[in-house]
Amino acid sequence: MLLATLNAQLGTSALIIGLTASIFGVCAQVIGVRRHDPKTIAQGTRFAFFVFGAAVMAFAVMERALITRDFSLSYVQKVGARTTPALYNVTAIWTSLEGSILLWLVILGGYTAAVAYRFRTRRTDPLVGWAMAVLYIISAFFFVLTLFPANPFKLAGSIKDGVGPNPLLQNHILVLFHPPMLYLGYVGMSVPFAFAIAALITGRVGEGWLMETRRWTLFAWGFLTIGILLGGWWSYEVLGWGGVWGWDPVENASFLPWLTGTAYIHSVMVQERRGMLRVWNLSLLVATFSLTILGTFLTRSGVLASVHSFSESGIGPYLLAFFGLVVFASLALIAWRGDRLRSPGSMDSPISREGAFLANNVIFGLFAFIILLGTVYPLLVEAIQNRKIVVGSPYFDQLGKPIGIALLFMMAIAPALPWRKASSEVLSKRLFWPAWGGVVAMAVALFVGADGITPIIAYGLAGFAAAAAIRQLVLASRRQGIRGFLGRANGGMIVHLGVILVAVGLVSSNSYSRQQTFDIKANSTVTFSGHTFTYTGIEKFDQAQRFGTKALISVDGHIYAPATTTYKSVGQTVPTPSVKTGLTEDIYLVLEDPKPASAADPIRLTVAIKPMIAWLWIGGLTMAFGTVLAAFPGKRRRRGTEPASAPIVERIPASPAEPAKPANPVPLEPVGADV
Amino acid sequence: MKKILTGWPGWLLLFAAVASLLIISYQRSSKPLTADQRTQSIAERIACPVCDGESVAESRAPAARDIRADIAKYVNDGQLSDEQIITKIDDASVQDLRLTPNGSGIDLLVWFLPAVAFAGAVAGLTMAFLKWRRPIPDHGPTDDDREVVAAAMRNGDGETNDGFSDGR
Repeated sequence: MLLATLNAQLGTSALIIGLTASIFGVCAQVIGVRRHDPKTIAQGTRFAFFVFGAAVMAFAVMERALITRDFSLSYVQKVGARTTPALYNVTAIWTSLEGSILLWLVILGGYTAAVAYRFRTRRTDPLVGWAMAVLYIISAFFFVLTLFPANPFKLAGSIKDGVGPNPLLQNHILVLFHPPMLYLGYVGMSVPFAFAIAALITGRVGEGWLMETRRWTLFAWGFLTIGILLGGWWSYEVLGWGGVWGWDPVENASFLPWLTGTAYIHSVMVQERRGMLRVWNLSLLVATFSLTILGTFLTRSGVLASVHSFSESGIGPYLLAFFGLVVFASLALIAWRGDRLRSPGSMDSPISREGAFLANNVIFGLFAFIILLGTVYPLLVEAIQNRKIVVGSPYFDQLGKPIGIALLFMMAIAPALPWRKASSEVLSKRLFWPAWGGVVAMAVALFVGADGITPIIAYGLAGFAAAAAIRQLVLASRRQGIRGFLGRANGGMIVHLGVILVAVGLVSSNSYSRQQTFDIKANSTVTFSGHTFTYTGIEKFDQAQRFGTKALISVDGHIYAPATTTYKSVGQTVPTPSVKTGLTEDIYLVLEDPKPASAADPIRLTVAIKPMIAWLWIGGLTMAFGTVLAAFPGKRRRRGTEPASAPIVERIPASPAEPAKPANPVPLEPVGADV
Repeated sequence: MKKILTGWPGWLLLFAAVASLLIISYQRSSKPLTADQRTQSIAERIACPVCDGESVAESRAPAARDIRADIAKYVNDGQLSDEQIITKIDDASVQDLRLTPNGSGIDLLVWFLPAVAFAGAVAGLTMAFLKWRRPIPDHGPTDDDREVVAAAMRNGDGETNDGFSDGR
């Protein structure tokens, strides 16, 4: 104990405080709600701030340990080094398992505290009480993880220096943004999940809880989207193969909850509007949350090999057990509430907005199933036949392409479909000009040199979908002015435009990339794809943590410097590509082995031309912007109305003296109702 | 004129335009791949034997570079088909290097299950639509209905079937 450092003691204490606060929070909420005791519930809500504070403290202590290079901690030994630059020393906290679970805890604590604050005036509402209890249970689980199998504050034998983060994680500034964004999305899904479970427990399975969690879900989805795209950008800038998505298990693990979350964001509108798909929506939320746990298990336990998996540990059984518990408990609750989950509404016609949402959900579900199957299939084969196989990009591409095409088609026609039933006359009128938008897109693509049936169909559908989205925005803004861009339907159309840009970027870069490797002598020029590349010399660099060689390449007269960088502590050499970014194409340069020893030596240079990659990032920004707009209420608000499932419960008296008011609905806040 | 344009003649014209553009794109895409393009496409289907889930096309590892060189050699020889080249490289390795599982044995399941899921999804969707479908009354709106809608439109609360109240 005497040898324990201040950081270890403070960090462990913070984790114990957090775990205790989580357990007390669960107990207080459950007892308070069951006994209708507002005082206990109020106490229970306060624990949220203790949970958040404890997580922040543990995180801050670990940052302090990294910054002060406290090598008595095993985690600092693993990811810290005296030579690591300040920025990467700060981000080193989430470059390995234990620290990334700390980041998870901080964000979860933040969401829990935010829910406690947001619903502070309604904390006696059993729905909120049970949701808080579920959030505390999740927090308690992650505090247990950090205290036992993934404890970052474990002491280790003293050493003078560590190896620092994985070289790939100290080679680009995106490591500062990608993991926190992804976790904000992953962990954010805990909030709608908690309310879903609360709705099942309280029996208030109608539409009320959906209204409560609409924006929480939207923002979590937005963060997940941005996190995934930033991951693609990081992969593109750092890994040196020039791609943004390789269907790697870690990438798939982030994509799975995005798919089910996207399906939910659409299908929830059917429930709000028509009271249908209750079981389906609950199942989608359970799937989204449990897939975040399963994904963490698959990528952090070491069962699957991945280029992005920077750690292995013994947390696998814990995560698997928690995943099992979440799925079992959720399904049991859904079965228990089966009688209340019967939809009061019915579908008039498949050719309707709700029909399109249902079809889109089935497509998203099928896509998620295929990705999950392909990701875990090597594990199944190894378990059954003790044989290692790899399921890689070609499999996912082959099955993903028709699904992508189907989704683009749904995106094109769904905005034009009315609720309940569409007549052929209405459809013909609303779809005619958007469909011509698709024809124009196909013609433009062919005019600029595109070929191949699949890409041309994709461009056509992208043009069709874009025109459909623009049509809706134009009509909305004609009627409502600038507010025609707000609300879920109109903001959603801007998100659709972002998705279309991403789709066009992916189709173009996947279908028309060109690549060649050249051996170039000093001061020689090669031409490729209409560009000239002149090797003008080399530049060597030697910094505290790394050394390397830059080749100076004049691309059409402008100097670019692809490099290879060797990290001294681990002796690992990583490529550092140099990218000339443009709206129509990127020129991607990678310096290959063998490295030139002097400027007189030839170099081996891989040149890749990547069409329209920049549109992926522009599309991502558009999606983020659309998500923010979608979170604002549209013009029309259902003043004075309450959702069909307005809670009809006994209101808990504010004080023991005040009698309970049976059958008096808890007032709901006004709901921004958009289409 | 506008009605005729957006009616069936307009759609017929649109489908003819789409068909023509697809024929042009098909003719363009029937060009054979260059040797580099073919090498790249084969390399994308083979796993790097020493990497974590990367293909030979993506990896910078020396082993991947060697396999890329082998593929380029086979392609330049022009004797083997893509599938034969992949089989040759896969057979030469103790590991299974195919990134696309075989369509035989237990590996078949990875193809079969998505097909089953697709069939199940289509069947489920059809059943759901049939179950939920109900006849819509044939009569139009009553005077009372029209009054309610007019009042709502006056209050700015009205909405049409797709969320707009512009009378479309």
